[in-house]
Parts: sequence; C-alpha cells; structure tokens
Amino acid sequence: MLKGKIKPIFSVFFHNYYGDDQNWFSFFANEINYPFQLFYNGVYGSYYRTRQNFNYTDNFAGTTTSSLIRAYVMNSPNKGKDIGGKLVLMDAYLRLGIQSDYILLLHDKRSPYHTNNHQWKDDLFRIVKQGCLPQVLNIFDNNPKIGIVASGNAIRNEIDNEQQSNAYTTSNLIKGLKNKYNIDLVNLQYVAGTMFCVRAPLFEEFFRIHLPLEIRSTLESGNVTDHNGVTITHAWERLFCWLITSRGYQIKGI
Amino acid sequence: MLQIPNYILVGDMIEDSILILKEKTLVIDVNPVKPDSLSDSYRLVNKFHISISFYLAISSPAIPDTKLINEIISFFFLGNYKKTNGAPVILIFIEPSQSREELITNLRIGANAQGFVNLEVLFAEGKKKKVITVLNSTDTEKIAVAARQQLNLLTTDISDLYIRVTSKEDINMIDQYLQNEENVFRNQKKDVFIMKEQNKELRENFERAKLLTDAMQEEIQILTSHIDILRSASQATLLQNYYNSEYEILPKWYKQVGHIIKVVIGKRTFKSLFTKNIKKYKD
Repeated sequence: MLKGKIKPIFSVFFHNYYGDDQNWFSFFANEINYPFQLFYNGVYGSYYRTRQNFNYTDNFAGTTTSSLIRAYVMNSPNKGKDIGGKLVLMDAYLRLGIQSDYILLLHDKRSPYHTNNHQWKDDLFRIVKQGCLPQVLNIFDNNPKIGIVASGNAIRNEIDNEQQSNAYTTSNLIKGLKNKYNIDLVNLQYVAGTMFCVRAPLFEEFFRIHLPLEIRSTLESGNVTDHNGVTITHAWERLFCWLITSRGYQIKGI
Repeated sequence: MLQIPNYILVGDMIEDSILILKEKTLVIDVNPVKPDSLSDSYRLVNKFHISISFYLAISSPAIPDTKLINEIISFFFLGNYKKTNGAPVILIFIEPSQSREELITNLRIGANAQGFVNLEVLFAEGKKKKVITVLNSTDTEKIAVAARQQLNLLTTDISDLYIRVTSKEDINMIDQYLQNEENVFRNQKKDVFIMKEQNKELRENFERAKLLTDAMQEEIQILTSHIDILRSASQATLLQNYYNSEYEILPKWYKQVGHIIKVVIGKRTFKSLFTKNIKKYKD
C-alpha cells in the first residue's frame, strides 16, 4: 500500500461515528485524485460501528488505489465528538512526522437534531467532491493569504449567531481559551461543521505547541450538543478556524 | 489455534515483526528512559498489518510527566492496540515501588481524561493478583508444560501465555510448537478439544453481543435527547426566524416579481399564477 516516496498533497482526517466504512473508503478512493493519506478515526462503542459486520481495517490494508498512499486507522472513545476525533488524528499525524501541503478535515455528519441536516451534509462535503478539489488548490495557489477553503454555505460569522445570543464571543469560556492559546478574535468567521481544507503548516505549527491530546482532555464526553449553553467542544469548532484567521489568513468559500 | 500467545519483543525487533502476516498478539517492550524509544516504536507499529494486535510493556521507571503519559496514551488510539472491553492493556515489568505506582496512577488519570473508562494493567513483577509469568523462548520445556496445563484446564481463558522472543524465527518456532501440542491434545481428547473450541467461540459471541447491547442502550439515550431538542421547537423557531428575516420582510411587489422569475426559470407552472387548483411547483 505504501507507494514509494510520493509526497502527499492532502492528508484527509476523517472521523466516523455512523459506520458504513466500506462506502466511505470507496468514496475517498473515488473522489480524491491527488496523492493523499487517509487518517481514519472510528468511535469505539458507537452502536452503528459495533453492529457493522465488516472489518474495515482489513479492507483498507488490502485495497490500493491510484492516489491513496497510506491509510492510518485509529479508534477512540466518544469524547469531543468529531473535534476530539480530529485531535486524535492530528496527534498521530505529528507523531508520525508526516508532511503534506493541505489537511482536509471531514466527518460523517448527520446531526439528527437538525431539521435541515441532509442539505447541510451535502453542503459540507462539496469541497471533496470531484471537480471541487482542483478549484480548492487553485484558490490556495492564487492567494497565499487564504488559510482555509470550505463550502460557502457552511461559512458562518459568530456575530450572526442568533441562537446562542453571541455566547461564543462573550462567554468566559471563549475568553479563557482565547487567552490560553493566544488567539486574537480579529475575524469571527468560522466553518460550521468543521469540514474544510486548511494549509497543513499552519495547523502543524499550532498543534506542535498546543498538544492535541492535552486539548482533547478538556472536551466533553459523549454526543454533546450546545442547545442548553456553550460547550468547550463547540468552542473548539470555532477556534479551529480562529487560530488560522487570528494570524491574518482568510477563509474562502466555494 | 486455541492458544494465542502474547509474544514480548523489544524495539529492535519491531521492524522485523512487520513481516509477520498472521494474526498475532505482540507486546512491545519499551524503555521510556531511553530517548526516542517511544517515538521510534510509534512509527514502527504503524507499519504493522492491522490484524497484528499489540500492546505496550513498560520495562523501566521513568518520570511520569505529562509528555511521557501523552506519548504512551497516543498508542492506545491505534486501531490494533489491544483493548479489553474498551480498556487499553498495558504490561508493567517494573518492580513494586513508589515510582511504579506514580506511573500507573498518572496513566489511569491520563487515559480517563481521554475517555477510556478503564486501563487493564498487567504486572510481571510483584505480589498482586494480576501478576503474570513470562517465559523465554529458549525455555521450551516450560512452555510445553504451560501450554499443556492451559489446554487441560476447562475453566480458564487459554490465551494467556507470555513468551519473550528475540527473533521472528522464535515466533514461528513457538507457533509451530504450540500447534503441535494442540494437535496432540486434539488427538488424545477430541471431545474436550471440540468443547474448548465451542467455548472460545461462545465467549467471543457473548462479548460481541454485550458490546452491541451497551452501544444500543447508549444510542437510545442519545436519540432520546435529540428528540427532546427537536420537540423543544428551537429548530422550528430558527427556521421561522430565518424565513422572516430573509423573505417575509421583502415588499409584496418584490415577492410577486420573484414568482414570475420562478415561472421563467421553470421552477413554477405558469397557470399556477392565476389559479390555486393546479399543481404549483414542478418536480
């Protein structure tokens, strides 16, 4: 499966709660036509993953595609939802000393408590669909100040957050995190759903200083929602983008 | 094979073990005091075939600071790291001491902070209940006695053989050796052997069923909380607010022009502009 020493353009961080591994694997193999490495995290104890009669890891190891350089398979308890899973993958990425140009953050989003969840999922996955990745690369190539590219429909601004009355900008929680991690809230844009493509060196630099597992240990356990107030997990959904925009980079929608 | 031994090997052997393709349980003996021992091992175990299950053995006391604890815990997330009911397994070779207790306490706290409900600690030294006996690959007679003892026990889980190996050839040799022991046992006590096989299968099925039941119960709780959110009408309010601010606020003439545009671009039937008794929107 390891193909020579081709430098991957993308490292795909995928967090899976709802199982269906075989289809996800095919999805990535079919949609990504650039050299990439797949970091795949499955939630231990998820009902959907437990019931699947399919040893996905063996399948990954046995399948080759023209663009997949290597798949790394992780398994984590349900902590911090997809944010926690992505931090586990970031930890592995740094420990393995892997380098790539871009990191694609994705997960099998369903949000069954949202009325428009299907539309939202389609919007978020648009960046990885065939035809969109060249556009993503083009945006990064043409403008060095673009740090993140995401589906345009998923880009929100915390100022417009009516549901929580701007709690993520005014709460003590976000103030504390902002100070601790030296993040300036110059721009309150973020990608809701945390599915986007980011310049890898920017993430590498931040998470080498602020260790992913240390951040993960502060997140809430289980399938936490922020309907009854702000959560550390949902604060990090925003901080994943703000740690990039606070350094003068912008978010671009497609 | 009924017996799946735990082969204990040191860092230098990991690279060699990558080529072992059959299902195995390997115990990677790391010395945290040695610089890069953990980070080198981490890179190497990532090259294992996923069917090779493994866990760590810690062979020397080290200062259990956050860096070391996180370095060890990173292994627990690997897909083929051995876990018992979700609890990562770790083998400790250190003599009973305060530093050993400190290491274990900090590991438990660290693992718990990452969402692991428990940590399965095995000891190779000391007087605790879970002290295991480690055999050397050269102790063939002792291995034979241990294997026969385990095969003849009806009640014990027979996977617990811990053998320290020094080469890939050792693993192949002991595998063959255990297979021969098992063949002899099967020929001598065919019925018992079949029962043991069935027992092993039933245990595995039971564990899978328990895991599924636990996961199902947790999912029911999650779905119930989602239903509560949907019933709380916050989503409907959100949509209504969106509709009001994006559309309802517009002047009537603007909305009427909008309907004409819908007809022009083929989203609405022309006749529906004049009567309500006709299908309004095209499929």
